[in-house]
Amino acid sequence: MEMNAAGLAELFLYSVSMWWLIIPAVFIGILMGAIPGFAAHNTIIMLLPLTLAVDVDLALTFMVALYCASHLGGGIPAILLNIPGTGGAAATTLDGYPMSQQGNASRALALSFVASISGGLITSAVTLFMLQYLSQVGFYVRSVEMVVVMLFGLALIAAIAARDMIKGLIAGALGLMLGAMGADHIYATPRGTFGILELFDGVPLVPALIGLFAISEALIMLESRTIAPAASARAMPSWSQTFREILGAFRHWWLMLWTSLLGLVIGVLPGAGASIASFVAYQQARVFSRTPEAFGTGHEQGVVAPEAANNGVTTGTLVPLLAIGVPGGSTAAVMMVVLQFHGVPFGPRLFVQDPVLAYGVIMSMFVAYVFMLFTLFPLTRYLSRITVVANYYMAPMIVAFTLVGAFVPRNFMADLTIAVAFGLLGYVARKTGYNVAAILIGVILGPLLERSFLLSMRISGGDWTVFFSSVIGNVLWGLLAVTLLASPTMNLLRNLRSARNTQSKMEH
Amino acid sequence: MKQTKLNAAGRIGRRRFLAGAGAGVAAAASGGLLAPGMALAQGFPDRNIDIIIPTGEGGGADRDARAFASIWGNHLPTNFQFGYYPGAAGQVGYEFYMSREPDAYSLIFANLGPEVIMLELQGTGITVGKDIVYVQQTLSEPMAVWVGPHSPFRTLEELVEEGRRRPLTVAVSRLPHPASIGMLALGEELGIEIILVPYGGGNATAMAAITMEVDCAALPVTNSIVLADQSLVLGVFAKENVAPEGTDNAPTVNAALGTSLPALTSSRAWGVHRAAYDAYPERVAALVQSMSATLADPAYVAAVEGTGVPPVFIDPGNEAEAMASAQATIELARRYRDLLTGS
Amino acid sequence: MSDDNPSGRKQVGSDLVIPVVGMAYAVYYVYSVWEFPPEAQRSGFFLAGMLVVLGLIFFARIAVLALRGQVELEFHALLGPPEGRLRRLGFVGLIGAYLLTVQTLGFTLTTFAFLFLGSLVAGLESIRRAATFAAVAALSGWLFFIVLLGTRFPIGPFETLMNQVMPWR
Repeated sequence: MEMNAAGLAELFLYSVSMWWLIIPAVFIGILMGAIPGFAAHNTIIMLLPLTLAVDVDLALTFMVALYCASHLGGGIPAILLNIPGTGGAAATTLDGYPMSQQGNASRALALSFVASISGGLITSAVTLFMLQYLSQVGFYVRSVEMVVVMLFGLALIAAIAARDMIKGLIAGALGLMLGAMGADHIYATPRGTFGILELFDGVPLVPALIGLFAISEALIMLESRTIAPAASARAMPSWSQTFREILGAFRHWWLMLWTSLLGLVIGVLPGAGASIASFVAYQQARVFSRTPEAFGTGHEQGVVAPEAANNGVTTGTLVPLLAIGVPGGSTAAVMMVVLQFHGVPFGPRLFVQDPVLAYGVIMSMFVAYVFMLFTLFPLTRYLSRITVVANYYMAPMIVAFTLVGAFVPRNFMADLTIAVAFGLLGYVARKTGYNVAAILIGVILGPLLERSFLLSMRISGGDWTVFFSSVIGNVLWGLLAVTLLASPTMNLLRNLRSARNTQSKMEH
Repeated sequence: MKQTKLNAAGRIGRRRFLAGAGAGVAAAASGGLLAPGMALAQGFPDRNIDIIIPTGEGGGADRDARAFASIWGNHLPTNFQFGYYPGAAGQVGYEFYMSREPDAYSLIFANLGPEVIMLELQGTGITVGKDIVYVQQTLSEPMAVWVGPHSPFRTLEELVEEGRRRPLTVAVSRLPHPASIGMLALGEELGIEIILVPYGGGNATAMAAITMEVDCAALPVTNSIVLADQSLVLGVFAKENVAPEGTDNAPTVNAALGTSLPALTSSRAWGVHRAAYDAYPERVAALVQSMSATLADPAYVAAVEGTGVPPVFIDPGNEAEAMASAQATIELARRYRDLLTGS
Repeated sequence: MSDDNPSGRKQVGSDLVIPVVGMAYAVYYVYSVWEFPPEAQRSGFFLAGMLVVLGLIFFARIAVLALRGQVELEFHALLGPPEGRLRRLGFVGLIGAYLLTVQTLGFTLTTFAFLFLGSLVAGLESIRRAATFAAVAALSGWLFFIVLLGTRFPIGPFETLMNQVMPWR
């Protein structure tokens, strides 16, 4: 199929004609994304009997819309309750929740929706035209380069630690140590698992996330009556205010553009996903911000960057499946199951045999985001009311329903206990000034970093210099150094300048 | 692109989807698509069968189990629920399976090669035969060594030639795997150094070969067949290449290099708790009977072909044959124990 | 050691919990991989070393302050503000009870009991409202998670009964 204007328009109209399917999928996706544990791929697995029963194009459209929407949904509880619905929304809590506590929940939601939808629209449009080029990224970013990409994500720990360096680093190191639990990547022998079978595959991410964020948050909630200060959020924002907040969010268009493209590129890499992308995006947004010190206190940019990035990932993860034929992430793997079941080829052959289906997948992402544009914005007005619901309702609800979420991905009863254990750990950490997001970053990135590191070392025959052997790798190392040194240097310069100013004033 | 066709598809599709949605909800609500009467007449199965897959979703086991279950439902009137328990090279899935009620309602879909080696090497305490019985073999496929489309190596000889100059890096799914054994045995016989790089799953392994992070990949041959022109098969660890069209007409490793390596295959098989096997022989008999009927059903051949797997790999085998496959793998694992465990 | 109390001395104690737990796990981890091949040990050794060093730095800082008589030992921060402390401990106890009973009572009954008692313990003062809230939430949860999504969460007497009452299920 020619990707000319007429072809695109036709494809667009075809996807739009699926509105009856996309709109329910969007609502299911948002709802499921908002409950930790039900994120896209688990929901899609549960709905497989349904998607396997219908035509493959319908099944794919449904799954793709649900997938995109769940990434957006994950940000809602992150902002309102300090509970990320998905790992990709963990970074959103850092500034989104402080905004809610200040009574600005509806503005934070508007920012998150605008950033997510813009990010999704930008990246699906880019993917539509540049699919073949994007698929080449995997040829240049391999294990060696992935090590540096992971370090970019870990740099966020250092940023979080800026306020209390030793505690931030201890939290990050503890996360990494817990992340090292489980079978090693080479010999598959379990390490540090206390002999518990359910930990052989490492710390399960969803129960850890639910414990660190949801359960510990529920315990802390009991100390106050509501999340938002009762006075500031008593009145529901007016329609005109809601509209102003949505329009206002577009001020960050440049940030949305580059963080979503960053998410797209990270999404294309096999093994990297929304959480890494949002950690890296948050950290980079902070580095390039004019107000880095405001991050973590309810800063708008701190909501925009991770949300644009994790929605940029959604299109990216499908690229390896579509362009090469190998799924890059777990959601793509489930989509492959559906394609295989229907006997539809994937990879380059899909574009030859059924280009409508191949490009249609990406176009339906685009269209799903367009629909979200119209269906979601009214929600910002109502959803923010959650922050004034009494905590004696919220806390028990959060515990009861997130424990189901802890169970869902693996169907292990032990995962409930693991979630509660992490909940107590998270509670102690919060109460004593250790950042739970830093722990989670370690838990998520630790095993990925170790894997890339061990693969690189194996391939090089144990030669350490391999990490500096590629041009792209070295460029990334350079950028990492710049990133880490940027804010201290800026601070130093600023201090010098102000010192000089006061000096010159005194001389006058 | 034909607009008319699309619109028609859209219209029909909506109705069909809604019908499907209804069926799906009903299925979820009823906990299974029971064909009324049929199941109750025999008493077994009167509820869902749980299928435990000791690898991740979207992998080869998932593909083959779903193809089988899609036809099996016609011969055994029940619903099949899939659960994925990857981790520690399959150990998590097996240990979880052993913790399930041994009532013949939960089955494990095994990949005999890697999993039997894992059970043998990792000290799991689970013994084939004593704890698990493989009651029906479904497919068998040989291991293959292959490269991505942009690789400089076009033949096995070229690859080996390079291997005489420097160590070769080989992407494998995991160390305890027949493909890993094949490459190590090859290296041993030709005196070249092989570095196995375990990527922890077929898909990630394939990606490493395609992006040329490693020199080549060694996997069950279906992985490369499914990838079509994204892979070039260099050699097959078998007595003969029974699926030449899907495998770029690759030679056998022994024919290409004059080696005398054992044939390395892996079979998919259905496993059941030994305790269930002993306590509920009539249930196991019902399972096995319907499995054999499925394997004999032409629709199954079509389903397998639909997933991209050559039907020539369909290899129905009864309990004795499945257990013999497992036993042969155990002996192989013992022979290469040191190389596979890092000891 | 963040809280300054009126006496001007820094309070420590609670914030030792995380480093101590972390270091204990690090030691156990190293022990558990002691005889493994080097590739399986490397990152664990590195991380354990890092964690222990960071913990020791932290302890050293506190020790210096302690020598100057500037610290005060406390563990109150762990339990939060004094008002409602018993309620919160009770809530943690209820979570424990949930874990113990869910496998026998199943999703719906356990959730109902947990929400009912939990909301009361958390400060809701009307038994009637607690019961209504718990019933509505538990039934919606059952409909959504168990019936519609087919989650394989443990089933109990309620779910079994519903299966019998509704023969099409």
